[in-house]
Amino acid sequence: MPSTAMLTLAGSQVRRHPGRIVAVLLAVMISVGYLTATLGFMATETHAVASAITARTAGADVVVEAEDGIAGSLQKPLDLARRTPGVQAAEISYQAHGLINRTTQISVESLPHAPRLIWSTLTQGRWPSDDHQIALGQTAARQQNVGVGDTVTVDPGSGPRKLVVTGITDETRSLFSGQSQTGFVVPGFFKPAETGGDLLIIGGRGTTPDRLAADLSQRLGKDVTVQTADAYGQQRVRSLAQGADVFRNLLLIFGAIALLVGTILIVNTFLILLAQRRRQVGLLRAVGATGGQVRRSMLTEAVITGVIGSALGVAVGIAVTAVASAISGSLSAGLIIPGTVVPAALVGVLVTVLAALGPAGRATQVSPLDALRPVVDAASDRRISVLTAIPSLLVAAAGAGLIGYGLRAGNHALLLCVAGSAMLAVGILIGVKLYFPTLVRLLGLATRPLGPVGRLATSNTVRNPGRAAATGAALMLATGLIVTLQVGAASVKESTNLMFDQHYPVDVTVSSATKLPSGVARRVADVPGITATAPVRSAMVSVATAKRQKAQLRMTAGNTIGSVINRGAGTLPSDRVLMDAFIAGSLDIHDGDRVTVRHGSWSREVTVQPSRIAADGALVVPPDLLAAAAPDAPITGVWAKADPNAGVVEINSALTKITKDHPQLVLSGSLTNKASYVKLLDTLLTVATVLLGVAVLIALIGVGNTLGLSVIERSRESALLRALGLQRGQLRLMLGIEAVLLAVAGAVVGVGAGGFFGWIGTAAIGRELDYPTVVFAMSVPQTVLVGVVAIVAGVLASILPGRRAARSAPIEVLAEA
Amino acid sequence: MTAPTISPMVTDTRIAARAVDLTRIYGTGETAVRALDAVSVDFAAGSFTAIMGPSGSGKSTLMHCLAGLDAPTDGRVYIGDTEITRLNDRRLTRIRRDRIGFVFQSFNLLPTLTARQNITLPLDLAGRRPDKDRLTTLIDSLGLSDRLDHRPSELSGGQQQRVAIARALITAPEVVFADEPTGALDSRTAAALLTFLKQSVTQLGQTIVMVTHDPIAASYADRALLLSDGRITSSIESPTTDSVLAAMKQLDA
Repeated sequence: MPSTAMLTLAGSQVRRHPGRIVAVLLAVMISVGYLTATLGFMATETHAVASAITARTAGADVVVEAEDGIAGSLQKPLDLARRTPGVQAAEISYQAHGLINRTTQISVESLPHAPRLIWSTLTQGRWPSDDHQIALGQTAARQQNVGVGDTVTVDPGSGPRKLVVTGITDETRSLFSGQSQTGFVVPGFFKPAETGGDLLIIGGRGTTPDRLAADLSQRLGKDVTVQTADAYGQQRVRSLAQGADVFRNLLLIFGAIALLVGTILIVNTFLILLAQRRRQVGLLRAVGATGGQVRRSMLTEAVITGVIGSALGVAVGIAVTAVASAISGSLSAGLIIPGTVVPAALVGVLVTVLAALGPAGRATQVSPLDALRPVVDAASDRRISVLTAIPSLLVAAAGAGLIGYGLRAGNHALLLCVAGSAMLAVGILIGVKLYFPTLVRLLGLATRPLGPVGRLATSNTVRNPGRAAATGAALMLATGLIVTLQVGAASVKESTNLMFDQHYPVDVTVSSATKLPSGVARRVADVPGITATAPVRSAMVSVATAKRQKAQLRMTAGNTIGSVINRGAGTLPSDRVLMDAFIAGSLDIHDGDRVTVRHGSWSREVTVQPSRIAADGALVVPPDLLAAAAPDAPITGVWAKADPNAGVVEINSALTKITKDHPQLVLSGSLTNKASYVKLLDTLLTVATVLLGVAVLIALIGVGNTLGLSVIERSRESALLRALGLQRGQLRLMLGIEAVLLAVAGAVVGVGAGGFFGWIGTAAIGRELDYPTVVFAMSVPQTVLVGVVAIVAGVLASILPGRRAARSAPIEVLAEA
Repeated sequence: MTAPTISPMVTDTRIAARAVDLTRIYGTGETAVRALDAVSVDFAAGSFTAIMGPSGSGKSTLMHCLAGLDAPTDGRVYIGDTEITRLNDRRLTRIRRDRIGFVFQSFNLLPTLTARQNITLPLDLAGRRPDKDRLTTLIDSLGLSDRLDHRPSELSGGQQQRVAIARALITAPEVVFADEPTGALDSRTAAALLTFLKQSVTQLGQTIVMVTHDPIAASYADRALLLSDGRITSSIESPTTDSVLAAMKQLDA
């Protein structure tokens, strides 16, 4: 039975005290905004890519493909199609993937005859008119640094040809196709028998694409596939969209985390609202409102808040999508807001209402007597329910057991550990009430020197253990996830580095088949972060084993290579030659076997020791042996050692620059391999941290909210303290301490749990990937940063509530509540 | 030790608090309410004054202005020799902390602190250690020695108010302002408290200004001031319940 009076009351609560629900609005808005932006951005990107892919056929009605995909096979169907009633125009569209200026991939296609089929617009110059001309896409023109009138070499697969650039065309860009390079040439440029292509058909006025496709399908027979242009485009896009879906789902997981943190905050806010309105609710009950009416009133308030928050969130999300896609360039293909935004918004409303259910249920338990009590007693449930302790302990124990089993079991270690960690995390979160107040009290000991202000702040923080715990839990979840990722990434990085060090005893090797170009050794040595270099000489030799296996191998030696070989990789013996362990395995050579090495007329029998040191040298021998075999062996490479603390990515990019100038050089060693891993991990970590930052932001709003609402709740108390002689600054300090205590306690648990989970994850990944050693690494600056952010944010979160509390005049204490 | 412009009535006595031409107007224009209208009054050190009057007479406003909780529109307020109407918030707060004590009708104890912590709170805020003898004397005479580690929610109304009185007296303030201190108590508990307050005046030389509308409470005071429409209409020395009642009836007439 809907009650107008209660609805009016719910509405007026939202209108009269908007400040109290600001935090809920923000939480819903940020969460829904994030989801909307994710969905919108991915849809816009996908659309941009799709329109780029389908642009060539978008102007046509029907697309005909040959079975073999060769344009030459379409000549007969073209003639048939042109005679088919309803066909206004038909032409073959050629497309080839080749190289421009022998270096970069380019997609070259024929300039269509029919104006309707020309999908790109000229920004400069004119279209090509003979087969020595090309119109280049602006991306290609910029990358090749050419303009109208310049000459480029294009190899469509049938050999390089020189073409004059006659025009520059515009093309859509997007996150996924930003680097695509295109060019238009006349159809005569292509050799039909060697080039891919399809038949594009434009229908007349009296027909539809579907009907035309059906007609053509009948006439052209079985050797070709006839599709409407729409169906053709969708088919092309579908394969691509799958990759984007994975990416989108990943982003949505982060959105779900943000939503979860938001839910904790909303539950908290409604509980506090209820505490504030206890008298009012009691009064309503005293004058005859039923428990159900009170509950419905609170739920109505939740719905109003959820709807407003979600609507704001969708608006923010669309704005973010527009900005993000404008930056990535995909906006030019059109802003796409998918229908899935509606469920996302509904989730926002649903979460708000669900979060309000518990507090609303509790509202019905308020007795009419509460209205009559002169002072609302702030004492709350101090005792810890055994019922909360049991499930949290059970879940945590089950999670720990699963992790333990996962780490010992060989198979599915990662899956078991992730599941176990998730359960343990849930246990930690459910049981937050059990340990969080104690933790805050312990941290509160540090505020002792601040005197009564510190003591008051500590006891205020834990005066409502449930609220403090929920606020802390939101923060724990957010910081815990970030630290888990940080530790996981740092540990995987360290473990992978160690693995590479063991696999590649030399950090950097630059080698050439022939004499090393002059100056290369000097340039390698000059790269910042390279601490030592050793030139190596080499010559090709033939090796014959006792089992009559033969191989041509490069024999390498250097006077100073001992100085660049990493410790732990073994030493250079003087009586043996080192052979690449992989080659030794394939030749069935074992440690101590003897082989005969031949170079021209010189030959000698040597003892072999398989070693990873020889990985880039095939056969590493003492210098005098090489000198004896090939006195004139040239310097063909340089080995180098890098400072272990120097930036792997920077060194690698400096080395890559050298090898780019000398294409015959091959860059190898542990550093190059490390660099690609480090770069990937760092990128992933940065992206994940930024995404989780949304959750942290919401959690911090929660801290501010808890504080702000308890300031309202305690306004009489604050006024009393002011009357008794507490200075404004001291009152603000007190609230600042409360916020910092909450934030630091949350961060401490988050960092601790995150460190542990990160280590578990690394150990599990290590088992799964068969790493020889798993190193636990925690980046101290990063972890310290999380702590500092927690403290700073705590202080920030207390500024507004502090100002509000300090404003309260001491006279308020005398006003009747 | 005489000041040139001191009123003849209190020539030989130190002044604990004084109001001079105190005016307090709430609101502006048509809706302006003159809660205090040029009130001048002295409170001698070691005196117990009851301020009485019907609702809206301005008795609470007078006390708020005297205690530095509310700023008067015009006029001056002195605590001892210090004019507090010109002080900034920081110095005014310090005056309240060190030289004024408060007792409220609704006790106003901090729920998170124990009785002992509540009593010593003003000293804690000032960063001072409580005078052990004074604390023990106060606690013993108020009968609180076995309740010191209880929180306010575990104390009866009378006990809470006794804690509040101990908190007001612990700093040995120049003047204690009490706002309907017995308003929320039963008559026996109230009588015990009022007796204690009177004792603190006669034995310890404490100055107390008490706002009340209860003629029985007023009879414990040395003097009763009657306010009406923002002015002091009469002053009764050594009031009794009957003399106060008679004076109040006169006001109504």
